[in-house]
Amino acid sequence: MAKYTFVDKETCIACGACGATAPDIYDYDDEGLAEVIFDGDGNKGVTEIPEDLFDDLQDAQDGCPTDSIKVADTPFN
Amino acid sequence: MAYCMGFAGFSDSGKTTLIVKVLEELRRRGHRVAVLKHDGHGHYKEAKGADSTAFVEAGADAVVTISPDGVHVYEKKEAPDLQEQLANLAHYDLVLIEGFKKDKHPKVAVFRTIEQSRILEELDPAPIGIITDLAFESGGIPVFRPDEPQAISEFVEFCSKARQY
Repeated sequence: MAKYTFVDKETCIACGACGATAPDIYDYDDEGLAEVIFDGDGNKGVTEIPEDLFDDLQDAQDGCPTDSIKVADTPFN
Repeated sequence: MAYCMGFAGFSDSGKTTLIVKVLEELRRRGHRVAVLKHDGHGHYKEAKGADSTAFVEAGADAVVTISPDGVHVYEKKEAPDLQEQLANLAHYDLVLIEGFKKDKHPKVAVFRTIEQSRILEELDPAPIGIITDLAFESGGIPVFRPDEPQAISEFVEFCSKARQY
């Protein structure tokens, strides 16, 4: 099953937890807010996350204090 | 902008002892570290008998004492604001915040007992880490022991990549 992800920047508090957990998927913009950078996704949620990163993806979603990390089986846009 | 990490827990959960160890480790790693503490019950007292205390007790609106190795500042404020004080510390690398469990900065939860673990339910946003001696199911967030200041410091370093609060 494919997985896609993006960060809701409206609720992100820039805690840095997702980037610490899954640095290949999440990085930060100039304001410190998280965004999906995997394979140039640009936080659109349209890039398929490879299976070998599923554990990191799950940990990042579980560890997000504001539930800002969205994950779905289909692209978000 | 300094990255802020809060250490939230009930009284006698070990926050101060832990922050001392973590700040020492972060300093060893080359970071400039500030600490901001919540004195929710107003327990803080100026040093008894000191000249600066006499000025505070006489009602000065502010007292600044300049010593060879630092500056001590007292300011009278009716409603001290965390964000305002954090802005004054923005030039440091890291700010470790003791208490202020109702504010929105990233936090780790600190507890020693099952009863104290109720702090997990009180934190909103949820904690991004847990520090306890108990064998605890984390629900997906990292769990550290209080005698692991190196691992905790590493976690703070990783998270601080965001450089914001």
